[in-house]
Amino acid sequence: MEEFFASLYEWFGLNPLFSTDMGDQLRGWDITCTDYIGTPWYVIIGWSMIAVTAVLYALQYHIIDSSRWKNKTHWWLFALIIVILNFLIAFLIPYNSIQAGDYCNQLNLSVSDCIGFGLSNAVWSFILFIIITTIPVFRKLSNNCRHTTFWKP
Amino acid sequence: MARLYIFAIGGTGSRVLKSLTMLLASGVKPNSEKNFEIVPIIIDPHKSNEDLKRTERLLGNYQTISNEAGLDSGFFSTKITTLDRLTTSQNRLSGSFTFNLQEVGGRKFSEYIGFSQLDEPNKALADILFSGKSINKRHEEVNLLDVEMDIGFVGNPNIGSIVLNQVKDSQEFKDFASNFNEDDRVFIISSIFGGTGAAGFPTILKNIRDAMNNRNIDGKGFLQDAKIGAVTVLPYFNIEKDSDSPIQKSDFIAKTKAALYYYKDNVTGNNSINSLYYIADNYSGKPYKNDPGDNGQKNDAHFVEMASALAIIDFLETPDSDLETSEGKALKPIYKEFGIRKDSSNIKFSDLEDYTERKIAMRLSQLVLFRKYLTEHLSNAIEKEAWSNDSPEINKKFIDDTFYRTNLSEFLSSFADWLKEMSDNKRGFSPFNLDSTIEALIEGRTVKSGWFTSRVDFPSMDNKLSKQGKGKTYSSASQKLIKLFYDTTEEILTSKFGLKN
Amino acid sequence: MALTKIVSTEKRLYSQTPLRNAVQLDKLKKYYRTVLIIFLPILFLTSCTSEFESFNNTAFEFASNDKRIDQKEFETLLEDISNSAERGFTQFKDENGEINNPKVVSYLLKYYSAKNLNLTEVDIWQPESLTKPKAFNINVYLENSASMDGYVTGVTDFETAIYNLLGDFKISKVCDSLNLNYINNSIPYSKKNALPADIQDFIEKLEPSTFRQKGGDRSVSDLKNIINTVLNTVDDQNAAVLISDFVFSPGKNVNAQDYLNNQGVGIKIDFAEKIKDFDLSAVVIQLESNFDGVYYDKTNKSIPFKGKRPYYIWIFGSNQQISSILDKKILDNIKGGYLNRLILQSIKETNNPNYKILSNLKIGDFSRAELNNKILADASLSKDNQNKGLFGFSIAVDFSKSSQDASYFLDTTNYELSNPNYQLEVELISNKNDASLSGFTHLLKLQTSDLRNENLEIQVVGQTPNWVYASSSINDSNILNEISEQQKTFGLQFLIEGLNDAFYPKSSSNAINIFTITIKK
Repeated sequence: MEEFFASLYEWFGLNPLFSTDMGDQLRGWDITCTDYIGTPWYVIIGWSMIAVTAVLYALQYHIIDSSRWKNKTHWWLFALIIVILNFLIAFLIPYNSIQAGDYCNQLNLSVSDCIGFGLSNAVWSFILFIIITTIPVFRKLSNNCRHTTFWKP
Repeated sequence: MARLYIFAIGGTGSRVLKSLTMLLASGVKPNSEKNFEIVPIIIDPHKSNEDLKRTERLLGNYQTISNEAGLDSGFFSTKITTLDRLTTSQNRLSGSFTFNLQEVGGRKFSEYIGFSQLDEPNKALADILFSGKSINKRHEEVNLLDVEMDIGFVGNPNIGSIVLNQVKDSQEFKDFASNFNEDDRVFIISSIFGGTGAAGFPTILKNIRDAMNNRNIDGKGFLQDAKIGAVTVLPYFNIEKDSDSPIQKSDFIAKTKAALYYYKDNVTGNNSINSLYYIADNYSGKPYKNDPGDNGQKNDAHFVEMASALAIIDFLETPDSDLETSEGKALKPIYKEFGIRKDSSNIKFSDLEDYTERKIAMRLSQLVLFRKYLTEHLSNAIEKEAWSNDSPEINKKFIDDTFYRTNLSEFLSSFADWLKEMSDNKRGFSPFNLDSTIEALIEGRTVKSGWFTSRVDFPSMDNKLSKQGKGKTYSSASQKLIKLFYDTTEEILTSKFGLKN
Repeated sequence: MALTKIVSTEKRLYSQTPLRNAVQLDKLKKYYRTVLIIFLPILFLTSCTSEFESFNNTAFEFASNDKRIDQKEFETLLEDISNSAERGFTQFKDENGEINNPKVVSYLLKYYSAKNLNLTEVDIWQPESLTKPKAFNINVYLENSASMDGYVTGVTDFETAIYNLLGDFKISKVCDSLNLNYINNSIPYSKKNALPADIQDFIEKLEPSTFRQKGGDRSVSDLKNIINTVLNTVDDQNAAVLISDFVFSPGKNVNAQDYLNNQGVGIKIDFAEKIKDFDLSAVVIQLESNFDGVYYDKTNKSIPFKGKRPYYIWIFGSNQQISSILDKKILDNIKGGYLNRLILQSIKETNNPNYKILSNLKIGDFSRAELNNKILADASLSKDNQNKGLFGFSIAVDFSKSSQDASYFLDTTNYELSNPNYQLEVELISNKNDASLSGFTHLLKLQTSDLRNENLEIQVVGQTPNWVYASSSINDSNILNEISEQQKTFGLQFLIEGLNDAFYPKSSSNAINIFTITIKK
């Protein structure tokens, strides 16, 4: 599970977005610099990304499920919320670790790493939202939004 | 499927038939196990009768829509057919609903009866029988014998009865008789005070009951004992005083009385009819224009006509056991009248008796709501709402097609006019606020509010439409439009407005 | 009939339509479905912590409560470790899966230090080791040949140091009974089970007169003999301490070189024999004292001398006995200190010290993924200008439990690398605040330009240290005039080499510790 999420986030190429050290920290390099036995952040943030995207998808398509919120402009609105939320989650968690000094001191972590990781999480959540809403399997259960995608209505 | 043959005689006949069509379009159905197919036969020599024209066009649109919608789509679910579709004979008439009265156009009555060829004693007899003066269509005073018949019999049933007797020898009657089955029924609509109607009703009745003796037809023998119902419309409207017109209000009462006497011997007295419905109104309200028919007798729709149409529904609900006939005589003839709960000059649903209200309130409201959505909101919704994007799609192409653009739109426009006319008429029938918001649509009913309820407006209608249409299959876009809106409007009216069926 | 119809329809009118109820129920269902959808993921996320994390949290809580870990808390933590097979807990267990308490303690200290909670080893309760060390006696042998007179004339550093040492042996309870002896060719004097009063007496009587009085053959020091005699007294219950100047006296007509060689070989054989059946350890410390007396050179010529001269204390015993003595830090507390120390142990069972590859301080690059298994994966040469073409990494080692001095491990000549292309540098770890280095004493830095897939072996070998050669003399005749000679001991290197060869024979590996690092490109 860790490997899946790790390869997902590092797929864009580690160095363009965030450093290898940040990658190790997110894999769970523990505070005593021993091994990957610390908090496996990749997994946690990965699942939270899926959960947030799924919840907001369900909110638009199944809970609110209204004729007033079905246009593609509304889709883009929800996509924006998803992207912002996921960016914040992925940014704040390592940022807090850095501020609290809660990480192995041999790692070089910086704020730009946090931003890069936040962007990576945001992009994946956007892709996930597109996938969930493009394949008709889920949205056809909706009352009003079963034809809502990012390009129509 | 059993059939109901409706003989709609004269102007009243057309108008009642129109009301019936509107009711059937909205989904009003008799509460009976049998499904009836309606075969209207309009008898009116007055070809330029505007009512007749309107009714014919209406029936045409209804047929087209009904064919698309099928029998299970709620609205337009009762089949209406032309007589010719039923026949297999070679002498097929054009597919019209109208009975073609022969040799009536432009002829004087005297020519019709061949007055000039009569010998002197018969001429004298004719003079007596058909005495008096009348005014022709050019507003000139003429003798009754010289009146031209293409504007009907202008309030002279004595002329009418002679002419209408040709019915029994006609091709239409022959077709009618040869197709008449044991399960079929007949209904005759006529007014008692007019020209065509007063004459035609007893004539047709006699011709049907006398079928055995009619050499013209080779029927199956069911005709004589057919279950026949009729509504006879007594005076209910006021006309303007116009001394140039052959029709005078004062004559109405007299002629009604005379006709009733005649019926006593020939209709009710001899048990010819199984179920006879009377309807009248003594409201002395807004008078109609006194138009004998030349400018196109175009009367506004009236509540009484709709109530008369309800008689037909009631007739269909009557079980067979109550309509037994033997040797041309009804064994237990039934006589009914129509009443409302409250004598108001502008009738709303709450002024009607419960059964009447439950019969028509829900259905008419559904059709009204349907029309409101189509005219005010449909163009905003197509290709955007989920229900319209589902297959079969309702899109701009559908809107431009004949079905929607011509048939349905015209029908619904006529429906709106019909409601408006009834609403403006006196006594009026105005249960709807047609131009208001949806929530104020029905006069005297407010939308139910509760914990989780939202407003009733077009977006919420869209919600319900999409929800209703989820996962359902429809045979075509037209059928989908009809059925989906029927189901959704029913749900809205039940849950939000508290109407019951 | 019409009337009854009306009644029944009225009944229907006033009954509740199930449709309206259904609509309300539907709304309720939707509401609860909303709540559920939002609630579940949150619940899932918060419950999703690993056992190792909760172990860390528990340990942190225990420590921050009262800045101590008492017995109950420690045992709770031990239970958590034994109940879980998670990856994080493997570092606490030995190969056979049993919990190694010192490893647990050392991890906890590192963790607390990283979390800025300053606990030390004494704050953590540890279970007493079950095996009580076996009690043993210490037999002290003081050479009383004539050459030793100069060390005991008057009050000397020699006497003070010995007094201190004996007193510490007694006080520390490291031994059962302390037995004091004189030795030359024989053991002319013995005091068994010396009490503090006896020790005091022993020291006070350390005078040339007493030496003469106690007798024995004081003329010649046959070191090999003396050592052997002492060696033979060593067993499970007896450790031995030998105090002497360890100066060989070949004599007038003897070839000094041959003599020294023979002695060396003889000593080697004696020790080798002993080591065969016994896990012997030996400690040699070099001290200094003022000397006022006669120095006998290699030809036995008497040379009066007054000044500072070295002398030696040797301690023999089993590994466990020597460890006990070293643990009590008795030698470190010798009054006046000592100059040098040498420790030798038979290599039968050596516990490899704890070591860890550091993930930073690298030249070039390697992946962190398998560092815990001592594997450098995806290793590559450095590309930056400063270190182009080089590959390097650092290992932190905990030599604290080793018998050897910390300085022993700083001497890179004491290391052997399986790949001679690696350069080694060693330094002490001085930064006590660095949590990642907590629990380690030395930093080994390795660097090479020859990067290949291999199992790199770094051996710490036992060999004769440099100070021995620096303190060894082969010609002591001119001792009066040569100042350097005065600090030397004649023939020392032969003595120690003999010892060394016995402990670390050339025929087999003389590795005290072996560290293996797997390098994969």
